[in-house]
Amino acid sequence: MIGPHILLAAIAMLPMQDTKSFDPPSTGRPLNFSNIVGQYDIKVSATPTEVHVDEAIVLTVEISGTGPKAYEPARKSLRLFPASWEDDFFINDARDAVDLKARTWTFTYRLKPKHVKVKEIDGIELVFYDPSQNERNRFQSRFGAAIPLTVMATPEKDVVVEPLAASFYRQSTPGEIASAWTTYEAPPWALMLAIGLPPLLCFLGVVIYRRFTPGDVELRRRRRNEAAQRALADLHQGHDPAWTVVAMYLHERFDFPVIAATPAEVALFLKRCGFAKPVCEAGRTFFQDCDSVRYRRESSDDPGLGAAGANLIQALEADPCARS
Amino acid sequence: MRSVVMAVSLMGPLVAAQENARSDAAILADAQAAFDRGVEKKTLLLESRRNFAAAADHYLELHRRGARSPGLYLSLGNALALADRWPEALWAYHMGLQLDPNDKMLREQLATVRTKVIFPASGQGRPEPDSWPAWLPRPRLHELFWISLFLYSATCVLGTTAWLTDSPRLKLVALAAFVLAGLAIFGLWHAIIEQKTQRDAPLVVVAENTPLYRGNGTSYAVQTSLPALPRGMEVRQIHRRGDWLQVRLTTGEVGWIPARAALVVAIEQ
Repeated sequence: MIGPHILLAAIAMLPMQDTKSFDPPSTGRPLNFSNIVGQYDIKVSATPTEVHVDEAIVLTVEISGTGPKAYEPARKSLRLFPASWEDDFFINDARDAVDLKARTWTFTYRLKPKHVKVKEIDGIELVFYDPSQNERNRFQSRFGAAIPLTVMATPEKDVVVEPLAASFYRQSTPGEIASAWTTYEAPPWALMLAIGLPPLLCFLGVVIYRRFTPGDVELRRRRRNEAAQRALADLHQGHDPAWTVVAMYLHERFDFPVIAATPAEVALFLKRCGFAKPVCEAGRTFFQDCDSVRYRRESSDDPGLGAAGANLIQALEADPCARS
Repeated sequence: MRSVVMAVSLMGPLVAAQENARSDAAILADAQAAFDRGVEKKTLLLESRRNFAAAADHYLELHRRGARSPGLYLSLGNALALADRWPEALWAYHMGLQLDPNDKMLREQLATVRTKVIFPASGQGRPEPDSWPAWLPRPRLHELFWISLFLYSATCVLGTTAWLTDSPRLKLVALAAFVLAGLAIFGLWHAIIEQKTQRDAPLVVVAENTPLYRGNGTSYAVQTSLPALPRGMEVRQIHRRGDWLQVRLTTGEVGWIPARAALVVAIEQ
């Protein structure tokens, strides 16, 4: 009876083309099949086993056994580590060593634990194809022994850093922080008000100023208005002769230079002032009537002259020339 | 299972309510204590950064609650800079300067932190140099408004008085007031234009290195002249579409960045 070891040793001696009968099937392979054919075993060791996060652990995987040369262990084909290691370790390849006499392949890895929850190196599985087994069990698995680990947090070291300026280590006081600041936005109505209000107030100021402190022109105008009022009152009372009252009125109101004027002088003066022709003629007629009363031998009183004088003054005041 | 879900759904608002129930003074005290712890442990880089980051988060909570003061933004900026979150620190200093443009400390801190930005060698996006003379105070908008109003009113009053009294001396004074009022109104107009620019195209600090796309989506190509914006670069937002901002660099390049990578400097009262 030929034992399986002798059979596999014979297979290993066969040339490459003769191994085809021992090829693993192309379908139905386990996902973590390491493309190894024969009978193999696995041993694992790690050092150190007490590390900090991100510190390297040297993991040595020793695979020993026999099988055809084309399907001997090779790093690029090995699928030893479970997928969950992605969350636990950074894995880097290190050196390989092969001892063909002892039929031992040694693969070294550098593992760096990612966090402190990593408690062991476990789950290393070598899946190979053993043609000597019955058809159902030809894909065989061997597991590496679990290696307990102690992973500690990275110690904080005093790091020499270039310090920022001392001003960065300053805080504001609670009062400074609590003070409420706002950004100001000038609303359009405020701008319009600010533009329009000062000139408006100045205009009002001018009006008020003018009212309480009239200028020379205004004073003259007021005086002249008062002259007309006074003359009408005098004519109404009848104390002074009508011609004297009217002549005084013309002097005060229009700067008529002569008190005892002839009718022609009055008419000429009014004409030069720009009065309408009927008004000038009325002036001339009034003073002619006055003269006829003044120089007659009888009483010089004529109550109709007062009314005529008042009519003349009203006509003069109504004329646009007097208003200007 | 149902009761667990209910308990969790009830706990969420409860925790938020507890956080809201904390007074501003308590949050401020926490912020200052964390900052002080960071200063004590400044030789331990990671530990101090953790404390400064905690202080910054407390200050940010105060900002979210509506606190607005240059003092708050100075402390916040310092804490962020010390926590190595300096793009956010740039944002905080800018926020403080929006409130008080005359705060020299904020301006100095801003200048220091700006040196950390790694600009492209071609110089694109570098901040424009500040042309305002250092000795001249920067008047705020409301100050300019009142100064302008005063000088304008004085000009009106003096001009009217000079006209009424026909006094040559008063006319000269009125002319001087007119010139000063003109300058103040020009300054006010400039400040209003600047405020409008800031409102329409607010300053944006790039929070993280981000590609500068030609359109508002990752399917668009990146700009060939400047494929990516470095963190801390200051740009202007000229448009917003959804979660994307169209930005313009100080050197004129225009592109799109995701809004999550941008810190917009805008004082919202």
